[in-house]
Amino acid sequence: MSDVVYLAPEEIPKKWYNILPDLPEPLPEPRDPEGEESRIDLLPKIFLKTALKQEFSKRRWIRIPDEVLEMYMHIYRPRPLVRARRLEKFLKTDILG
Amino acid sequence: LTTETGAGQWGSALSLGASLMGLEATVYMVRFAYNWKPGRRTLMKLYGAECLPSPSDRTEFGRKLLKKDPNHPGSLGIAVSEGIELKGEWDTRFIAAQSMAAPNLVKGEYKYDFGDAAGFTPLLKMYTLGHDVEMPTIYAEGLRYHAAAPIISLLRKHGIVEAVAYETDEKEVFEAAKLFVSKEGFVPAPESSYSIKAAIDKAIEAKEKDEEWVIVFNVSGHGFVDLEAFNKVLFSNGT
Repeated sequence: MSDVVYLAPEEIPKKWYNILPDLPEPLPEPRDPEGEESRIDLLPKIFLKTALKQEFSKRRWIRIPDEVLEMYMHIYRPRPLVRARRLEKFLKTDILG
Repeated sequence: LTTETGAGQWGSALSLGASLMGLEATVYMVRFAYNWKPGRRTLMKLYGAECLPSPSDRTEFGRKLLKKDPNHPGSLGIAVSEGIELKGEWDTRFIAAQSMAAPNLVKGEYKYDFGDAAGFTPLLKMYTLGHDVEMPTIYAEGLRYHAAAPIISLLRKHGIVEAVAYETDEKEVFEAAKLFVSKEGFVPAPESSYSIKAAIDKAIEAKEKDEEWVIVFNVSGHGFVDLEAFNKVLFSNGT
């Protein structure tokens, strides 16, 4: 097996994984401080609408928009998985061969 | 787009994204890192973004802090350390590599707290050292944040994610980075060096226990704009 694993264009994931539905318990909801201006109402003013929707989505898979996917490929994403074989040799931990 | 960045990786990434999508970006960068990493600023500027040291005089909160201390080093980074991967089907352990400068997962308390120093965000349940805590400066600025992300915190509470924290002088971490450079030829970012250090520690532990572990770690960035950090910590006595 090669020490460097690259994905071919057709192997690049088309969806992001969202861990929220797989958590051992639901994520505690954001809260407002007592007796102060609501911070939750402020969120749409700080964050982009789409980003907030993604942040609170309960769906396990979120489709990566085509133009973002194209951009990933344009900037050489995802980066390869590389085996640090020379480091293993130095540490004498290359027991897997 | 307006955003914050600690050591500058996120700010650079967002500047590139904004530039490719035809958007304007302003990046507030932690002053301590802004001052010692002019390369990061230049990179953001090359991408067409505006980069300002934080605290800045643009905001009320920034002005308040600058009034107290004109050389305020700033804080606010991205808390979650390198090397955290998603829980798979195997018997897998997930280890967050942190700094004792901001050991939120190691020494923090799991409770509701603000996500920012000024308290503009909602209260989030997470492992936190307190949103107004003072943390010593380190070169891995991206790890110097008071809390861990709510999802990572929940996984830590359930024991799915573990955490280690390394000394604030960063010597053992940068020594691990130096070893990695000499063997693999890749210069890692200071933050990435923490995950390399943790991976090496785990490899040695596996050997001592005579067990076979597959260790995967995330080298999240290169360190070409961080060379001064390695110089200061590893070679400061002229050797």
